[in-house]
Amino acid sequence: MLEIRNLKKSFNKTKAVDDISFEVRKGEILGLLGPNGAGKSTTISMIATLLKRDGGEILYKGKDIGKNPKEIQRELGFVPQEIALYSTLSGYENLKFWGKIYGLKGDNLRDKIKEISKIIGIDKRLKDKVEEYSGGMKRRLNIGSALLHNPEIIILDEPTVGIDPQSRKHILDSVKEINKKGSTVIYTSHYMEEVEYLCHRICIMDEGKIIAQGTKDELLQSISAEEKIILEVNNINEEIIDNINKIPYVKNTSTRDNSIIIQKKGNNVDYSEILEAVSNKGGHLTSMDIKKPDLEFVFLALTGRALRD
Amino acid sequence: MFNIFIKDLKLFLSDKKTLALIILMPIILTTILSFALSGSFAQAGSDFTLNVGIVKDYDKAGEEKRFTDFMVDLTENYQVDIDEFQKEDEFSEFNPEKIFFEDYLGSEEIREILYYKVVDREEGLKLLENKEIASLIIIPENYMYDMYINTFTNFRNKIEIEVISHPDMNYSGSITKELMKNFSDVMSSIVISKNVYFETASEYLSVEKIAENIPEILNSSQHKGENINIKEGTVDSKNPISSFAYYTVAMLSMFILFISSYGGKFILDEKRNNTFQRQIASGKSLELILVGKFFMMFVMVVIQSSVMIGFSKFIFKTNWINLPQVIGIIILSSLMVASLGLMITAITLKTNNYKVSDAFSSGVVQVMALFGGSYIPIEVLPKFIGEVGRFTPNGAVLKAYIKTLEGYGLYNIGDNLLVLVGNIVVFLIISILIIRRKSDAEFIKS
Repeated sequence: MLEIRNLKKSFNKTKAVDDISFEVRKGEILGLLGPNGAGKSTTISMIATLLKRDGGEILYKGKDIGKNPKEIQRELGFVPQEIALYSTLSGYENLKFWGKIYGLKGDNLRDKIKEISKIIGIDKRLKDKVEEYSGGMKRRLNIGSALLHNPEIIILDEPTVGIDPQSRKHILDSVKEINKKGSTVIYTSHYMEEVEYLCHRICIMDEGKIIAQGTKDELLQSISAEEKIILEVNNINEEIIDNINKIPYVKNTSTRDNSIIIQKKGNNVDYSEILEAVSNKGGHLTSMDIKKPDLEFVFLALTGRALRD
Repeated sequence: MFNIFIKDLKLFLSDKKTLALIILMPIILTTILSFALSGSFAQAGSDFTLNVGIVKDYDKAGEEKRFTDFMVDLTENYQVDIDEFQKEDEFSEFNPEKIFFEDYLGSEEIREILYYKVVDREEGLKLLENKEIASLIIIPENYMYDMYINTFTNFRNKIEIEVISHPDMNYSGSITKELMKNFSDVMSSIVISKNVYFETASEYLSVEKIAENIPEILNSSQHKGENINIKEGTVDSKNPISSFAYYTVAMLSMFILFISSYGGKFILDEKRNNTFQRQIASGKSLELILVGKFFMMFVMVVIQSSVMIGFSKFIFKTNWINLPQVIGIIILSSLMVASLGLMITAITLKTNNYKVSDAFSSGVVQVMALFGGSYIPIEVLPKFIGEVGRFTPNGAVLKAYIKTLEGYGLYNIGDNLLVLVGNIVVFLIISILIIRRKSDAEFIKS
């Protein structure tokens, strides 16, 4: 549906987007995951025809959007990172304006406002001015304003920044619902768990480049990620570490302060062996945590930095 | 485009602070200034009257005798028959006091607007201080003698008629000065005619012959004197402008300019909160968004002008005389403000900060208001300010409204409308040049 080939964009001498290629398939939710400054917003600004690219191609349904911007503009719902609404107007007036911008009118517009306001959960506050809304409601209206015209493709740029967990959950569920109704979604975030929860496929970006892409499983496999067992132990000593390393399913261990991090191999794990290995050598185990591999692992493995660094 | 325009209009109307500035503020200022400076203007609904005091510092009888003595001395030296001259009553007919008080101030045109009272200097100054009179005209010592000398001899004595006006009644003071200047011009033309005759005739005629023809010159001069009027002055055939009418249009012509800064402010607000980018992403062009702003400013000026004019009509009872002409001025001035606003919007968008629109609303408008005559009528300001003011858009708007209120037709306000059209064309060309130099995407980059 959307194909990005060798896309480049620089601001002065800084390469914001550095020769990236990826595709967005019809009906999927594609996540662009990366820390702040990774180039996610610049990439989607070029897809949304807001920025001119320095090089490469963006093909929407096979046509270059540089030459035919209208092709994507009329089928796109763009939700910018900031609250792009008129705060002195009511929620209804905002939805009406954005609906008309996309050519809706009359009964069709009224029906869509009714439908979308229910999906985003502001139908009872439509007459209130946006400046009277909570942060979460503004975020939801911000998304709703891009959905009125049943866009084929929706771009959401970090739509959950700075809101409470309840509103965040509402937004994520709304995105899933929109996707189920047939819209293709590009979702950018630096929240790994959101991308994991929502996206069918993920592109991980860092310093303007795509450093990995695929489904979550494909990404985890690409770095051979396994579960980690994290032990909190008082009086850690060399003998305890040696004892743990002798257990057959332990691949390797590392320590940090009072923690022993065990990288395991295979699925046959007997946790009592670990308890014995610690207690036999005078260690006092205070906690044990099993951490499943996630995208944070992938990012860490690929860049040597945590996603939120 | 209509949707964008409606949205901008709603945004404008939802901002109570802005509405107070552009609708309430000019009404309040108009009311305050109109009452405070009402003494400088004609009263609405009544004929314009100018009350002045006149001080006679001269001694009529003494100065006539002094002149007769001078002429007797002249007769003895040049053998001119002065008795014959007096017998024909020409000398007594030429009475400078009569010319000033009866022929000039007593003429029908002047009598309609000017009431005078002969007072002594002290009483006159007191009346002036109490604003019972707008001006005090002081006819100097030797006025009679000097007028005779200037008229019947080849000598030229300088006569200075002093006009003292109350500072709060500058407009009336200006009219009084204009009337005195008019009188002075006519009298000068008499003296010049006589002197030309003297100088030319003295080459060919004897002194007696020259003296014989003087009465004829004076007759023709007096004929001229009968024609003294204020046709070329500032008050002839005009409807009086009350302070309420003047300050309504003065404040209106200034406050419409404030609206021009809102296009820039609005578009930068939209850029900062990303609604601008969102519109571009939806396929709306920059030009379309700017046209929406243009019409928003146009309609706001129409609303602002209509409210002000309606207020002055129903509250101050101002007679706007020619409504179609007033509507025409409203439309043209609204187009002017919208064009100026478009230019400011384009510059604001290019520079990406509020400084341009802020500088315009806090600085440029004030300067234009001064030069255009919104604070003080340009007639009482230095001449160069008036000259510059003629070409300011607000000055042209002010003049067009004033002339309409005075009863002038479309033909008479043509030059003011031309200035407005010129301003519109210049603003639009500059706007287009700025917009065309930048692409949508470059405008978006912050």
